[in-house]
Amino acid sequence: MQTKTVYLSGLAVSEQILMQSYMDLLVLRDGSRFDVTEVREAAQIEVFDPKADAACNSPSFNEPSRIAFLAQGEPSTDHGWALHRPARLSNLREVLTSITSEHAILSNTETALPEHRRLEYWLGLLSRFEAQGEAWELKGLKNLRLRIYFNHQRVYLSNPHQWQEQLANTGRALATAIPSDMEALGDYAISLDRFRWQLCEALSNGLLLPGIASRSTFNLLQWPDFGSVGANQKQMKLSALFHGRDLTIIKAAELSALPVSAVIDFINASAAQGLLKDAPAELLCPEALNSAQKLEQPAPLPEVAKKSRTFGQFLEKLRGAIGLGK
Amino acid sequence: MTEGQPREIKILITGPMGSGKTTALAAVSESKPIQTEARNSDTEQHSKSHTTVAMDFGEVYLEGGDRLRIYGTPGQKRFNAMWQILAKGALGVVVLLDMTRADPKEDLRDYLTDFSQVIHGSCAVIGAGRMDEQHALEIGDLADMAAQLGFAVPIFSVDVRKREDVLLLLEALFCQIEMDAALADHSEMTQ
Repeated sequence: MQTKTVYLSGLAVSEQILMQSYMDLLVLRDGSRFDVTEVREAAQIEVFDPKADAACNSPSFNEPSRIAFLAQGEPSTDHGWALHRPARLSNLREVLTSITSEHAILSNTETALPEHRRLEYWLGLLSRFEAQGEAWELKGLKNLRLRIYFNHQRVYLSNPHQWQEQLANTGRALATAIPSDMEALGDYAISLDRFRWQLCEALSNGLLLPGIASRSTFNLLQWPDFGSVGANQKQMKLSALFHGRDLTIIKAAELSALPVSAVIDFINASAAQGLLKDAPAELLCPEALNSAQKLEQPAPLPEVAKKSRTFGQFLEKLRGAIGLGK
Repeated sequence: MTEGQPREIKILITGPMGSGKTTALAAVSESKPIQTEARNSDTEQHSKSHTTVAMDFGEVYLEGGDRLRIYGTPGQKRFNAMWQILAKGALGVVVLLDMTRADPKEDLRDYLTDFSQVIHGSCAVIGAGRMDEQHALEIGDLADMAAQLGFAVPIFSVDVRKREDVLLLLEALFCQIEMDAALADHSEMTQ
């Protein structure tokens, strides 16, 4: 008989007793053994109350190989995976057994991440998924299900509309490894690059990712493959500026007459695609851009800037004539 | 480019035979493109029945007499005397590649080298077609090759049968032109 170890995190004493009773009953009923451990790191399953502080800080949230289970998550009745409050013996056994075999991370839509950590969380999750499996399904998001196939570099979405906003407004997701040849979900598919790029745009919130926040200048190794990630004029202008050239965010905003937040979105997305040149140590400026600091919008170049104005007017007419959008 | 007078810019589309130059040009030209096609006698390079032998030409007219002129080069190397003539005065070059050809990296090297003067003096963009029909090369491989030759050019996977992909290539050129002008202005102002 295989024994699974369980860590109870932040549960009220009454709930701890209830959980322990259920686990004891499972041993008596069908031999499924779940032992409670006092050491979180040693546990195969972590059970916690999402309303407790411990839930937000638990490393299990981000580790598919360490399993998290929200005992009091909002139940979703329209999916087979839904976890109900462990009020019934049969349900508890299924839940504990399935999450140990599926490497699941469970969501609680009420426990949203702080805004400045959302992009970091999702990008981290994607890279961990990629390292640990070929295909994953994300559920537990309102009106949205996602299947990510790293082997085909594609993402299938059950709902193509405003998925970025849904991810932005949802803290955590349930992720389950699926067979890489599993049937695609719906008709709407985008490349993984485009998914990652649009995620960055939606979740940057005007703040640089922690890994690059100490840089004072940025330099693009190569343009993003806009044929794959999709593009708009803003991103093209910023690519033209940052490609092969060290520039600050403020300078790029000034030259392109774009909002600072658009430049930050672009820098984050480029970083997520591995397109930024490594910054030399002497250019790192730890105090300049910490993750909570917002940059002020510079004034656009003055009207005396003749060359760019002349080209700008001509190109605007041309864009209109051939149907190029903004 | 002077203010107040009708203005025009010239863009060149080049690339090996069968890479979609004529198709790309036709996708944006307002006038019926002028084409100089002849029966293809070089079926080893490409099996299509007809190919461009001198140039393709298309235009986009703008109010006030402004216009965009687009030239497509012949793809076969034996017509490369024509390439330099067509490249004169071009403000940007679109290089189209067919990734299912025997050696797309070699094609890229050839075209970047042959058009190096105009590319270094202005700007360029590379459109890699039929990427999904081969798995030997990534966009990054082409970018590395271009960088080794000293070219910092954008490279996109495209399907030039789709008009939006052709527009994507043109927008990349336009944005480079616009931002180069902004940098030049900024440099003048700070001197």
